[in-house]
Amino acid sequence: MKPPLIPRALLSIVFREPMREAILGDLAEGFADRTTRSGRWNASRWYWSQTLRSIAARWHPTTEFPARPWSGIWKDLRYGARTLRRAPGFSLVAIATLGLGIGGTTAAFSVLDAVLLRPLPYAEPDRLVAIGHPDADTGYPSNLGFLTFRDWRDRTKSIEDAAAMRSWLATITAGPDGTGANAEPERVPAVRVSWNFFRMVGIAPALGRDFRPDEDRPETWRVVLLSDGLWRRRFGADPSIVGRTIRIHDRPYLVVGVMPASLEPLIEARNYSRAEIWAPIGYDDTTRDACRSCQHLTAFARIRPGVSIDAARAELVSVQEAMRREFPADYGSTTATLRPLRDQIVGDVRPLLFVLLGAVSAVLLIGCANLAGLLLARGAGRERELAVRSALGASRGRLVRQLLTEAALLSALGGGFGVLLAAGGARALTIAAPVDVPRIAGAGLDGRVLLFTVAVTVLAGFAFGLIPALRAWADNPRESLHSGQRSTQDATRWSRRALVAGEVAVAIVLLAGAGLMIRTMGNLLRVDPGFDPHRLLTMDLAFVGPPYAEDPAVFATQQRILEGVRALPGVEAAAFASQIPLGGNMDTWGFHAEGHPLYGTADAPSVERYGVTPDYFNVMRIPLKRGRLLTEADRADAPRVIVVGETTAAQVWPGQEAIGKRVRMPGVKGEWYTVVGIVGDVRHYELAAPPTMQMYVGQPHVTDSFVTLTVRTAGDPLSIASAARAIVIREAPGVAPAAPATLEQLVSKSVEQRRFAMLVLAVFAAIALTLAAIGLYGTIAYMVARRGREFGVRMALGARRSDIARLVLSEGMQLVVAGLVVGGAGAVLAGRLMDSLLYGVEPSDPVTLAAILVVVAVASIAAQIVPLLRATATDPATALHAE
Amino acid sequence: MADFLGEFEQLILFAVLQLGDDAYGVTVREAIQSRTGRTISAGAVYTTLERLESRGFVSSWFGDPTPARGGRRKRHFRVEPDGRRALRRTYDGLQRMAHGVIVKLEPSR
Repeated sequence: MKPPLIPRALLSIVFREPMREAILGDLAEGFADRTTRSGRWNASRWYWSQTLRSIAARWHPTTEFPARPWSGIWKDLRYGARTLRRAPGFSLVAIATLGLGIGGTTAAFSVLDAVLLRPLPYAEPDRLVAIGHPDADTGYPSNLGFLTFRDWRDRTKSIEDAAAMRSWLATITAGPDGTGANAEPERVPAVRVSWNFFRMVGIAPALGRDFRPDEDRPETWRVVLLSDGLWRRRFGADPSIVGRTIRIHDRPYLVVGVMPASLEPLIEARNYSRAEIWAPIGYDDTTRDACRSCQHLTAFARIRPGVSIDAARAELVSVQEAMRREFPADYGSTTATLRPLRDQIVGDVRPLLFVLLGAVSAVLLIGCANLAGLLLARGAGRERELAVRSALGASRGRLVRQLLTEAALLSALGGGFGVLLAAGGARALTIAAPVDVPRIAGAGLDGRVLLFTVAVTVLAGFAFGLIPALRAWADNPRESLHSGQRSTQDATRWSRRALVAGEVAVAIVLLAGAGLMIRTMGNLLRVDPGFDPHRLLTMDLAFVGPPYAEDPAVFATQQRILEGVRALPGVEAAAFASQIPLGGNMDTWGFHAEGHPLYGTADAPSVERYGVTPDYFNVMRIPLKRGRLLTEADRADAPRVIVVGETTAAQVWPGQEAIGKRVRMPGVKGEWYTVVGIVGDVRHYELAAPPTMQMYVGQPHVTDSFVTLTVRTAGDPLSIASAARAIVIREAPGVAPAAPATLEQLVSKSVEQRRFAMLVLAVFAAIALTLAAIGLYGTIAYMVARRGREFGVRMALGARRSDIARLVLSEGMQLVVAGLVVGGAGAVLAGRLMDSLLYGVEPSDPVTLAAILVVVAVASIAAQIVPLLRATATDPATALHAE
Repeated sequence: MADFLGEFEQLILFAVLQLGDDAYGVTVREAIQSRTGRTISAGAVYTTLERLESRGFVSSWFGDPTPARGGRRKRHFRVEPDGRRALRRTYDGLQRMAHGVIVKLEPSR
């Protein structure tokens, strides 16, 4: 049994050979002895105490540790409090700086903790994974087909349980047993899941029961579980709802249970929406959408205990390998992958949160450096006080303890203030943060976070208290009563200079982060999305239920709504589309071009599909490049035509004329479509992602039930929202429109994360720069005050004011240059770490670095102006008279 | 100054003398602890012994490594003639100072 690691490491650091071997050996012997006699706990305690006392004895072997090491601590505290009260300005600045730093760090940590560090709110969450075909861009699990899911579940040994999920939308048209039929239909976010989904994640309904296996069938799936929120809001928390039916899309659904209030639909929200209704998937082999290439499900699994993630992934990959050989037409070269569920859910926001914590920690660090500088300067001024106390019999250790007690007192006060700030700060962060940060609502102060705060407070106290205390230790206070103070002041000056250079370096790292994010945002806002997002209103609709069972009925309803909306004042044009750019949907179809080498294979190109009414291009202002657009003449009985995006034309028919070519979609059993026109590409997923392959097909040929109404307006698009909504409700009974959004809101949402990172970095960089400038000012001002007499002598001996100015400036600039060198290296490193947030700019972007150089130069000159003027204004006569 | 010893140094030298061939960190510490009731740290013992060695009062050598020590060697100590003389002198001085007044330290009868 080995002695505890930490004290052993401490001893190895403090003691050099040959003493190290002897001490470690002695203590190992004693530890082994005590372990057998009084147990490991007592032995460890003894080892710790021996270590700490040995380290103290390293410098003071004969002063044995006081029997009560805390004796006199009250006296120290009282004395410290008096000292702080005597310099209220200093104390307030110190407490405010520390409070801001500690409060900011605590707030940032509370968010990081809630989002990233806490285990997911599921049973044994470490064994939960996402499974799927790898996404082409990220390589992370993406969608898969039902039969693929079923086979993976049945054929892998390392998977204990698995569940699939698909998107759903539930429009509640009436309450239990027909009551509330007159209430307005309500559109409720929903998902469909395998019957065992909740059993797998370990959550049971609070009321009623979970789904049964026999309910997960095509003919029996119309049963639902409700969220606690929906149950209270729509059904008045009536427990008798369980076992009764409600109407969704005007069809009866049996309510089997209500989920607990604590359930947070993390998986649902990450993949689809914050679901409030769950129903079984209800697929079997014969379901039309169950095919292997019908990749519209997401899937999750629980790995058997003791099986590693890598082993499970390896098995899944080999199972898929075998399935690819079995069904080459379905899979082509498609593989499989698996990822811990936690990474899948919060992985995307990780860089953002580390940027946040990094930025506030940097500010705290600079704040501590400033305080250390202030304390050093004050320490130099207190030399006489310390000398007197020492002459009166206080030991050096006592004086150091006194200084450390003062620092601890300051940091405790700062920490207390910080906790107050953090309570508000955490809430402010949850509001300011991009809305799609999962679990951020859980951020707040609790035991864990407060423990972190205490640790930060203690560390901060050491960080700024230790250097002055060590200085006091190294100086022999008694000497300063009579001899000159040169040597100690030189050492003090050195420490302060190093601190200021360090502050400049940290500020530069933050400035670089802010600069890179500002450049990124500039690049993003300059990106042409391929359409004009201004004055565009969008509203999602779902035509589901008995009245909309046939395509012609849906199409006719669409036409009536468009006519009504077009007649509204202030409307320029209106159209329907099955999905819109930046709308968060993904709908790709296999694209089988006649004569293409991949025709009829599973590796045929996947093309983003937009089912639109003809006016859509006009509404979105998507430019026609060649050929023609879809028109009203492309009716259901007219020949089937499509319009493709430029990327599609270039990639599917490189070097050929795309117009006139024929394509089958989504499989080769489908109809032939002829390309009649080519339009500009749009950015579909986000502004930062390059355009994908896209194509447009008319609603008469492929009528969609889930569509987005898009309206181009003359003025503020939201001003017609309620009128448009009224038309939908009038023309389409049972259809509940989703909340309207403008396309500008969608564009802004797509850059939200980066804007947040930019704001955080810019704000903290400004604070950091200000603090560093104050530190620089303090150092130079102190230098000028101390050398005033020397400047006077120099000037009396013939030095010009410019010589003095050069002297002062060179002192300051040395620090700035040292900071620039260290900070520049740090900046490039930090840029690499936040690479995933950058767009169109390299981590070592020369423009950013040059801009920082200018900003730092200006700030450092501004910080030195006042002391510089004071130095050059020295009157030689006055300075010499003071002698 | 150089030829007199501090109180802690005297304790250590007495312990080393008494232990003879068996004098190393653990035994020295335990000897002092069992006779004076003072808990002392290994660091204090070695720092003091090293200072005594630099003044030529003790000498040290390494023994063989043992498993109980995690394969580390024992460091043995021996009191040198100079050390004996210094201890004699310091202790004599102390005794002379105490002569005749020791009774006054007894609790009053």
